Amino acid sequence: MIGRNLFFLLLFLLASCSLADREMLPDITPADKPAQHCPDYFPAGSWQFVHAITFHMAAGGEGTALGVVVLDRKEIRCALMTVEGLTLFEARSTEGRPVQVSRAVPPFDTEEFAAGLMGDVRTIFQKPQGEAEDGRLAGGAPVCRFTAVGRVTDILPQQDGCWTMHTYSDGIGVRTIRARSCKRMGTAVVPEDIDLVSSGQAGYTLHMHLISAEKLPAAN
Amino acid sequence: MGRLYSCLLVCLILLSASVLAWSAEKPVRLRSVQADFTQETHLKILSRPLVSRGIFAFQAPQSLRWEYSSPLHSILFMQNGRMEKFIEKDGRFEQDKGMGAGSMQFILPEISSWLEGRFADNPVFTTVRRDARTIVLTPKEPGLQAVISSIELHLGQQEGVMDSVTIFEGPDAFTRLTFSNTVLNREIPENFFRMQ
Repeated sequence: MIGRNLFFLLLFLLASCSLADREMLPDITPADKPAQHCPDYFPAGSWQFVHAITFHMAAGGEGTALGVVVLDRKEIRCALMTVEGLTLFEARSTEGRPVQVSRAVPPFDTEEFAAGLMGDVRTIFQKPQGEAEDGRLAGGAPVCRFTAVGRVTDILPQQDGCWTMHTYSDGIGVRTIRARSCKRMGTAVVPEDIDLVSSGQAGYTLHMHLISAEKLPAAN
Repeated sequence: MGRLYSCLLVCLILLSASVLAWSAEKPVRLRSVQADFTQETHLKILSRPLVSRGIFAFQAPQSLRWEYSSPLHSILFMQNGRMEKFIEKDGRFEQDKGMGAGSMQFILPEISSWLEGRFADNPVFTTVRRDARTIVLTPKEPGLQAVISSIELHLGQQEGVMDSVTIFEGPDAFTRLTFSNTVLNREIPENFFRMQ
């Protein structure tokens, strides 16, 4: 009996520690002018981006790979390759449909990895779903909040034209993404560097350094 | 995955070393080989192929430098059975610790036969000579077949020089390495094969 209680106590403490590490959804003060619109940081039209990606897993393990993302209207295609050009993962995803994986070698061959990777790609490259609301955080920082069912995305514009993004699931922080050294390409804001931190025990960090950003013809 | 990937990487590198010095008539006695290469990766999802460039150097018996200058500056060294890979980050080279070197022990014993052009003795690939200038290699291991369906080696007009290597990963997915400025049997300083 004591052993069982101890087990549940440990479980509770572990869960508490895990949640304590997570960022909780902050309150915002709505903007005075509801007509203000959130800045559009997300590339419109068709693009091909190539990044050098360095990843660190919370459970240990790290590596470097090349990542390719192709945005083509509502479809996103992505590939993860070794520096030497071997394809580790290749998939496409259309909004509202299951991810179609055309190639995945272990350990990248799980549904969880495919869904997680596509989720990261959508978060970074596509405007969040949900209703947009301008506001300010308690410290006065401007924020644009997108609220969808069970999911909130806060985008904090930075003075240098870049942005920081926090995503929350059921009020608990799941991802923080920081864009740095942004440059404007047409109407799009393209960061030179992106840092993504995924929280939790199965968490990971990604550093994405832009190698190329290419606007594709509309016919693609 | 780490073992398979490392094994595959080393296979490809050593294979390139071997075929660069391949002759259509007879194997060339190889002491060293250097070349520039352009690598094009084609995938169905890509609107444009991904192009990488770099240099390659091998010196018998077991010194290798495989360097990508773009799009990501990285260097793989192999010397006396020890393999190290470095990737440039923020202007400094950092060792890639994700590189499993254990599989080197598996593949290194094969290097001598590969470099003498004895592809048929290869435990990793089945070899077929399609024509005078094309050799096709097919992986024997099912695990490797899942990653690579075949490799085509195209021999150059000049004796002892390889034009290109095409690695077919599957339908609509291949990577082609095209070699240029190949130099055979010129002495290369040993410090070229380690990080300075």
